[in-house]
Amino acid sequence: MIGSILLSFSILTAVPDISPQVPAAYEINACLNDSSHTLTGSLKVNFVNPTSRSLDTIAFHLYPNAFKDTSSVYCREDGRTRAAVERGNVAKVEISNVMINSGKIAESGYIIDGTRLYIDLDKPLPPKSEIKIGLDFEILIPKMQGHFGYDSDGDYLIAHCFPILCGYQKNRLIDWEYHANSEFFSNFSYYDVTIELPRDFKAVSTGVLSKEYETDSTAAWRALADTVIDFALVCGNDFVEFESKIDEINLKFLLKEKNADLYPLVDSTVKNSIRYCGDHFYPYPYDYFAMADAGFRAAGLELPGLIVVGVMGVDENIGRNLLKKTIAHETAHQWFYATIATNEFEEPWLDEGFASFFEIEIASHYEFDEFPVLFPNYLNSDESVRRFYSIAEGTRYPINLKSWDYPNKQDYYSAVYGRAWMVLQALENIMGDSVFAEAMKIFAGDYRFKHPDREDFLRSTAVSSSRDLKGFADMFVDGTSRVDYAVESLEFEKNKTAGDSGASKYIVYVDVTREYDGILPQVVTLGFEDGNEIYETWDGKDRYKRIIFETNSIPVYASLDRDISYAIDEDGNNNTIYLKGHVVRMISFEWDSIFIIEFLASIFL
Amino acid sequence: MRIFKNRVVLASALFGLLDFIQGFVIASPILIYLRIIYENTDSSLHLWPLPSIDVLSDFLLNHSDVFIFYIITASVLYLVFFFVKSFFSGGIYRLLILEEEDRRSIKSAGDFLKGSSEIWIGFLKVGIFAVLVYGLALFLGMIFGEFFGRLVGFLKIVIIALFLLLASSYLQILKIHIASSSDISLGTAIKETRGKISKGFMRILTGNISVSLVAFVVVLILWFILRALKSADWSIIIMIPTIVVQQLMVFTVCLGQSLRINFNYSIVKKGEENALGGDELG
Repeated sequence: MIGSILLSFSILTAVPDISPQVPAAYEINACLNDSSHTLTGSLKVNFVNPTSRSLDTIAFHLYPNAFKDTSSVYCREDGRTRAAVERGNVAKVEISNVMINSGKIAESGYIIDGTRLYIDLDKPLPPKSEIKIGLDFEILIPKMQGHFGYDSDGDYLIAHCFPILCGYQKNRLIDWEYHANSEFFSNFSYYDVTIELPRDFKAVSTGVLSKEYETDSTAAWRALADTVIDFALVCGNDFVEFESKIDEINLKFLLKEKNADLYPLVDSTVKNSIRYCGDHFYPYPYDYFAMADAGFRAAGLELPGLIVVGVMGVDENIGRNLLKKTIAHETAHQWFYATIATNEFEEPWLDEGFASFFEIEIASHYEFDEFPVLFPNYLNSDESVRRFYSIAEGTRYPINLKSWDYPNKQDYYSAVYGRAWMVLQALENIMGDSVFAEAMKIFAGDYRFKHPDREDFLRSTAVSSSRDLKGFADMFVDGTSRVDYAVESLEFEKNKTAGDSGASKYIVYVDVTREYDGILPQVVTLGFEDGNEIYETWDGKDRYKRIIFETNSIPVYASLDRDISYAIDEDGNNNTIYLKGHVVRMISFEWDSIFIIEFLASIFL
Repeated sequence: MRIFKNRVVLASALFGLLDFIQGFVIASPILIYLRIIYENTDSSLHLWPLPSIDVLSDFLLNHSDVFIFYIITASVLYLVFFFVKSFFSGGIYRLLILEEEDRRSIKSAGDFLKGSSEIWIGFLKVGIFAVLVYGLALFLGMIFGEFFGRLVGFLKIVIIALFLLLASSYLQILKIHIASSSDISLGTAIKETRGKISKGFMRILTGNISVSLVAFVVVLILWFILRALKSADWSIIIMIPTIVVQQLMVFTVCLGQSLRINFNYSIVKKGEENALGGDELG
């Protein structure tokens, strides 16, 4: 399908076939003025009603208006942005010449409401019927605000910025205001974008990008993108350009000059991430992939076919590791956001939680953390830090809230990125690695180029794992259940009937408890001196349970979830009991602790 | 132990002992608690080379009340030990700076304690004054460090360390004055040392920097040895040399401090450079 559409684009005059699955085809012509930081142009879109009911109104996103003045929802929710807007770092989009099917609409025929444009239709648009909409726009671009702007080097990130139609999910218009925490949602569309940039600019974008022509001062670039949910572009003259290839995918990288030496690391990480996700879900569906250096540290942004990653400040090992993980995270979004296009406004955990989970899987698979440092366990523990942060933030909010229902960014990140990752990890442990991997592959395949929601995910996973996940979802997706299981005691006694033939020598009692409301199945392990272990499964439902083993030797330890290790279990220290204490180990630690105070005291004598 | 006949070595060992007791006293409450909750768990196997993030985070998440209580306890213990340390430091300073015949008069622990008690209040005053001096040094170090750090990033740390070293040297000189004159007045010490410091400032500066640099290099070497030891899996055979190296690091710092005290004394009091404590090593 993609190939045929690209062919039709190349004929220029042909308009791609739109359908309820890919309901819009955009033709955008724009010009970037580098001195006034404005983007001026026109947009034409052929739109087919993807719903089963008639539409009276057509809605567009106007993201730049989030930074128009301090009355915007975004500014009211985010103090830093509000302060920047107050200092004059504003953005806005002006709309004019609105046309419907070649007829100009009077200004009274449309309204701009914050970050949305609503155009009233003269007559309702029936299901599967087509309409042509045209408009002119002028966008004032700010110094980097939210997801777009120009940075201190004068390079541009133009994302979520064009007037794009609000999407529909299961017959429902998703036309939310831009909130400080929320990201993006739209339907799959075709894009034919021609944009004039200063001549010395380099650029990467969503779609296949090529230079069309040049004048003395400008160059016109054309991007063709098939079945993507948005169009974005990064451009500037402070970049070094690299190109590479994996399978049939053309990779293009724009790195800041000062970071150009990181290209090999960036290239291999992108390739590994694409390979991993391709193997686990479905092959990367486009024949282009681009990455741009955002110029800000330790942050990333997912866009269709394009990821923007902060490469600065990575001249030390921990920074490089963070860079690799950010690339893995944003690349995973090419599946969980860009092509399995969940609703980032209302269910952000479905893309951020999944991207976080698979970022850690990719990091583990390719051993990102292998670098020689003094105490590797401190610098390699991004996963542990994330777990600590999420548990410390508490479980006040479930992971399945709308992005703006979290009262602040800390709660948003903790739930949507951290707790969602732990919930998925618990689900993987319950289902088993191979069943979970298969379930994810089936879910991904079934919802490729669709807009699944929480129900779709849980239904798909339940069916493919043959499990009832309702209780799990109630506790951990929609609820705020906490988890802590503990081994309370380990005791044994001689079996009085040991003399009888076949009877075991010892009876071992392991008392286990559930401390909180969250219920997860457990495996109780009894370990012996010779390394042997015996197991007993426990559904984890009772508050207290005594598990009795009959053995021929005295056990060394009893343990809960020793192998499966639930990250969501809030106290790992109480998951194991040894019959004999590790006294010398503790003395060693105690000497270390005393030494730290002793050494500091000796310096400030 | 012939080596302990040298007053610098003896003083360093005593300073080291004092620091060890301080570390032991302050760390004990939390270590006892950790022993109780970790000794029979898997977590005790994840404390080497440093406690794992999971062990630490689980402790902080589930025993935060204990942690907060410990911080308060440790602060109180630190304050209590401040009195004890000031008391014994006075005695050790006297050991370092008294003239040969005066030193010979310290024949027993009783004499040592009697001498300490005479100047204890003076040392306490300097200890309290130290908060102000170190605070000022840190403030100035950060301002100058910010400026020079823009030229070379590493300079910021060096400048701050230099200002802290200057503060430490000044406080040592005040203590030397109190210990040598048995005058416990801080005001008098400040006044009477002012002229001597300005006269021998460059020698004080270069001498203290030199001694500190040598100590720093030795500690750095020991740090690398410690790092190599800690890279290995835990065993008693590794644990013992680790403890030895750690104590050597403390002793090196204490030796550096004693040398500086001796050096500062010889500049301020005698006007000559003598950091090694005479010919007693031979």
